[in-house]
Amino acid sequence: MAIIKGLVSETLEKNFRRKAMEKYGYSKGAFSKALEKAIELWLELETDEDEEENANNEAYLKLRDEILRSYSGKYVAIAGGKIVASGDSFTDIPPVPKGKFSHRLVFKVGVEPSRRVHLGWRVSRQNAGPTSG
Amino acid sequence: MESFKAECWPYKRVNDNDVPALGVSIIGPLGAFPEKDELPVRVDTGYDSFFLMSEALYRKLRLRLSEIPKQLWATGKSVTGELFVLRRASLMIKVPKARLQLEGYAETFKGNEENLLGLKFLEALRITLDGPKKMTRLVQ
Repeated sequence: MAIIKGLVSETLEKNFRRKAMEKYGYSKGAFSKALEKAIELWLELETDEDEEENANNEAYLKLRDEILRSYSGKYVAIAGGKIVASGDSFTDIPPVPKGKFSHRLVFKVGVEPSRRVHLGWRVSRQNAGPTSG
Repeated sequence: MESFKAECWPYKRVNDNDVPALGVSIIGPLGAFPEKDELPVRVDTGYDSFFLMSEALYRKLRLRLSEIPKQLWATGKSVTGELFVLRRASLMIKVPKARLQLEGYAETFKGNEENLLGLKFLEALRITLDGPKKMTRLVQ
């Protein structure tokens, strides 16, 4: 076991501590369990990201307002850090020329699918491997 | 009265059990998969999203070329309370026998080996499960 020290805002600390107690009970190890789970999830979110993926997601954040204004209801593709295609349906987005990109964003503007998903009884994690590639 | 047409799919054998399945064709950034015929995919009403895909299939279809922004990914929760970061990619699903095509998204997470069609997908279909005959039937 290791000790991690760092500074976070008081609000974040308060919310995190409350949630940890709700989830794991008012026991001694609750905070540590929740912290470990939070770090695991963050690592899972960040580890697979490569430069191209990072550039596309950063471009999306930068262009988000413009995309919402100009492409509402349409599909937009971002590759190489810029908008490369748009269309009324998913099939209007052309295929990527072979070898040109290893990552591309394609999404319908204004549609935000639910951020919490119940996976059901079938789902459990098998031996973990890379999703990328 | 509702009429039953011939469109139906046999249950799929999974771990010594017969489970309801639907035949679909997946349109991803590389085109249709399978190119001919259809892929039988298990129907699971316990999964409340669109299409949960194994990592292997997600890679095979090169869905990193149609991912949705990371800010719109989801957190998936299993019945045991385990949490997973779900990568998401845009795709289109065709149900050839129903002459239906749906725009939606695939989700996967590290270590996932399941392919499941969930509640969001089923919103567009009327199906009945014929347990004794082990068939999923499309209601027209």
